[in-house]
Parts: sequence; structure tokens; C-alpha cells
Amino acid sequence: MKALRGLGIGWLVLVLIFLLGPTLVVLVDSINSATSFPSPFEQATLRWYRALGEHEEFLDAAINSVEIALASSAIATLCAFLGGFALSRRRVRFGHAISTAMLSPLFIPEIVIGLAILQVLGLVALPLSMLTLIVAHAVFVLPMALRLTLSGFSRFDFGLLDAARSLGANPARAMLAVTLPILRPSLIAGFTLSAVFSFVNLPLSMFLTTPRTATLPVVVFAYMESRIDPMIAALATLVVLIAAAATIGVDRFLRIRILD
Amino acid sequence: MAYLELDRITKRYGTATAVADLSLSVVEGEMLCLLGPSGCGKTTTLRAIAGFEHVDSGAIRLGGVDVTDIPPEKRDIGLVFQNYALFPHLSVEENVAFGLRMRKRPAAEIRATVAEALRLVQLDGVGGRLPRQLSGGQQQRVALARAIAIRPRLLLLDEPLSNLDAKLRDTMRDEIRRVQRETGLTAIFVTHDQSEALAMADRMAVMDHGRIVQVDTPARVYDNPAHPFIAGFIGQANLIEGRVVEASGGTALIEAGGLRIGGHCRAALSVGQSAMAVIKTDRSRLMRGAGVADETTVPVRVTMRTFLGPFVSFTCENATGVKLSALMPSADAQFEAGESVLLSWRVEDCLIIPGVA
Repeated sequence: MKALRGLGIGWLVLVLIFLLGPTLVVLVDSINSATSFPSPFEQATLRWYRALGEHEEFLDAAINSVEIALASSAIATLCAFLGGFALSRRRVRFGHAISTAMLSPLFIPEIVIGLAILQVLGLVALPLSMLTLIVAHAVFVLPMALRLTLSGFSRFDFGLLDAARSLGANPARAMLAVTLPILRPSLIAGFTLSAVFSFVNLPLSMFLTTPRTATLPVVVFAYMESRIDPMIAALATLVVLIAAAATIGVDRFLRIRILD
Repeated sequence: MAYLELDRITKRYGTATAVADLSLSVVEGEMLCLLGPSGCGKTTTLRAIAGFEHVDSGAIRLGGVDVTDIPPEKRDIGLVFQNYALFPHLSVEENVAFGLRMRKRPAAEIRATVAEALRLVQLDGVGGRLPRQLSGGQQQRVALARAIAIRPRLLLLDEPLSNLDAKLRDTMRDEIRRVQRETGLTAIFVTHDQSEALAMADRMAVMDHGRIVQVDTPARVYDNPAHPFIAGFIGQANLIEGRVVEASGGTALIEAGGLRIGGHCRAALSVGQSAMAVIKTDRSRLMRGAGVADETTVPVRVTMRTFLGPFVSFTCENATGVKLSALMPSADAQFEAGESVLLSWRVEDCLIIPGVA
């Protein structure tokens, strides 16, 4: 028994090293004074973080990314809520086909989606803008929001809506007073997961951004095409820390399990 | 005039008819039970009264007003759901206050009404808890309090006792009756359990295949089933199908499987028509002795004896294979399996009713 337990713990440590190791390497690189990247550790320094402050394009791109992540996740979560409600009630014709269609961006390579959306926009003569980028991201993250919403609705008793109506709530008020609060954990989890997927997305954004709407991954990728220096490690570390803080914050303070 | 009136309502799902041309009048202040096997249309009828099913034809009138096209939220009908349907994210108090909030009543009035409703169902002190922290019986009481807090014009209960264990069922049965009497509410409840219907209802409407077969007080339905379906559904009875051989002045004689069975009848019967003898098992008696078979006595052999505490149930069979049962008080039940005895009844305890076809 004891030996088995030891083996289990050893395995867990290996898995954690495998998952978190690369991130730790980047973190160490970001405070390494060596100018080439990667290289052996020389001396601790914060100069790469200071250097980051001089590159306004990173900050602008980060703001773009946050705006796009929040807006597209909001759209996706709303669609997932309304769609999940209708699909779970099983009164919809072709409900299964519709839910498969809504989940399909999950199975199509992002590059294909990016290219397809670009071509369609060209066909209908819509110029690339913040709006088109947000809508494209919303389509792309919809499956994450929908999966979590559908799982929330699978435990939802639709009889509660009849109860609310017998007590005097019209359908809209029943939705606001009963469905929404009960589904809240699933919606927040879906929103958070969608926002993270939108924030880190590169392939879709590459096709659909303009210099004015460039997202952080696009700018970083462009920067790294010409050179690789520890400043990127500093940037990556900041992004990881902020993303981890957001996820843990939702998990801990809203008591909502994202990774269920 | 009737307080609630269902006027020839019909509800179809595709080609299946759930409720067929059903009419029913409910008097103010009474408790009426819709009783029937599953699939008989009783729940559809209840949901139509509440407004959740739109009837294909017919009208529903409540207090003289046609409510057929009024949505459920505007009908002022309190509904207790089979699974209670308590809002899991709201406390007991908030659940009970829900209907009053929707009606935008002032906060002080809501507080007073909620406290009163919880007191009425004997649940003071748990107002701050969430539904999942309550026992099944307590949840049932919250559901009842929530429905009566809106001072509904009508109280509907869908299988209110089916989710409770046997002991709690008796308590809640009396509780629901007490609350209904104290509030003076007109109530309709749906059940498939005849003992609930017999014990709780002022009147019961027995349903089968989307129709009401008989409406009357429990005692009268029990003693005078109007239809072979009810005779089989309510109470434990020996049902013997045969043909009328004699009928005159309120008594009749039928022949069935070589047996001649005499009883009384209410409907006019004619010789040769198919009929059914209904002999309640608790009114059938076993006795020893080599008596001759006559119109109220059958020689039988006891095939099974089941001890039920206060009663003993005997399953018997006659020489031609007709099965008959008798339920006797344990004190008078000194018969053993295999014994040959006489099974008899009084003419007034055997009802002859017209057969199905």
C-alpha cells in the first residue's frame, strides 16, 4: 500500500513537471540578465520587465486582446444561454443537429475558420474591423460556453419555470428570477473559459486583424519573427500570472468550479 | 352555481386524445380528487386548469369567468407539484415570498404573509434554510405554504403524497386536509392511489381514457361503482362476469362459469345481457359446513391464506375454477389452506352492474 502511494505521488510530480516545467523555464528566463534567450542563469534582474514598458505596441495589443476576449465571450455566453435553454428543453426540431453545428468550431482547425471567415467577409465586401474580429472570436469560443451551459441545463428542472409561472411570473420574469440565477455558475465558468481561449488565440486573429486591431499573440508572434529576447519571456510570465490569477479568483471567490 | 367549471374540454397530442370531451363542476370550498390509473388524463386535466395545457376545445370557467385563454401567471391558481419544484437557490422564506414578490406587494405585507403561511404548515423556524437542507416532508410543507401564500382562487395538488414514505404519507394527508379546511380553499388533487382519494376527498371523479366515469362522494363510489372499471379499480372486490338470467325489482341473478350469483342492482338489467357481479372481499365470509350451493353461497377450497395483521386474506377456488377472495378479521379467520369451506355474502353486499359489452 505504502509503496503504491509513493509511486502515485512520484507520478503526480512527473506530470506536474511536464505540465508546468516549460512555464517555469520561461519565468526563470524573464529574470535572467543574459541577453540571449535561452541561456544559463547569470544574475537576477527586472530589466526585461522595464523594457516591456517602452514597447507601447504590446500594451495596445494587450488592451485589444482584453476587449476582444470580454466582448466575444459576452456574445458567446448569451448565445450559449439562450441556445442551451432551447436545446435542453427538447422542444426543438433538429435539436441534435443544431447543437452539433454550434459545437463544430471545436473540430475545425482554427486556420480553416480564419481563412473561411476572411473569404466570406471579402465576398460580402465587409472590411476587417474590431467588430468582425469580435464576432469571429465569438463563433470560435461558442463551443466552450455552450458545453458548460448545456451541462448546467442538464441538471436544471424545467418544472421550476412552471412553478414560477403558477406564482405569477411571466415567462421573461421566470427566466430572470429562476433560470438565470440557477445557471449562473455554468455561465460564469463558460464566460471565463471563453475569455481565456479568445485571449490566447493566434491562428484566427492572424487572418482577421489589422495593424489597429492587432491582438497580443499576433504582435508577439510578429516580434519573435525578427528576434527572440528575454523581454518576450517577461511578457509571457505576466500573461500566465494574470490568467492564473483570474482563473483561481473565479474558482475560489465565486466558488465555481471551472475545471469540473 | 359551480365555482370551477370544465365545459366539454378536449386535449389531443397528435393522434392521441388525453382528455376527451370532459365536463366537471367543482363547488366552492370542496376538495375534489381526480383519481385514475396513469395515462388516464388526470394530470393533463390538472395542467389545463392551471393553464399549462391549452385545450383544443371546450371552456374552463373559474368563479364565473372564462379563463380558457388566460396564461397561468394571471390565473391566481396555486399549484403543488409532485416533486415540489422548490427554487433551490432561494431560502424557504424566499420561496414562499416568490408569488408575493411577483405581485409587487409591500415588504411588510410579504413578511407577515410568509410568516403566517409557514405557521399554518407548522414550519416556523426553518425560514432561513435552503430547500435541500430540509426533509421530504418539510419540502412538501414549503411547497404547500408557497402555493397558499398567494391566496389563490383555487389550489391544485399533483400527486402530493407520492414522494413520501408510508408513515409520512398519513401525516401529510391529514395536514393537507387541515390546511385546506382552515384556509377554506377550493382544492383539486390528482392521484392514482385510491386510498388517498377515499381518505382525503369530499368528492372524487374517477377517470379512465380521458373521460370521467363517475363523480360522487368516496363512500358512494366505493359502495356503488357505476362501471366495471371502477369496480376493479376501487377497493378489493371479487369481479365475476356473466349473463343476466333473472332481473326483477332491484335484485338480479347472473350465471357465470356454472355459478348462479344473486345480488342487488341499481341500473335496469334485461335477461340475457352481459353483467358483472361485484362482491367486496371484506364483505365475503367463509364458513364451515356442508351447505348446498345457492345464489349467495359457493363451495370453495382455500388455496392461499395470507396473514395481514388485523385481517387475513383468503384466496379460494371453486370446482369449476372460479377464483374468489375473502378478507376476514383475524379473530374469525380460523381456516387453513386446502380446507373445503363455503364462501357466502349477503344479497345487499353483491352489486350487479351492466357489463362492458
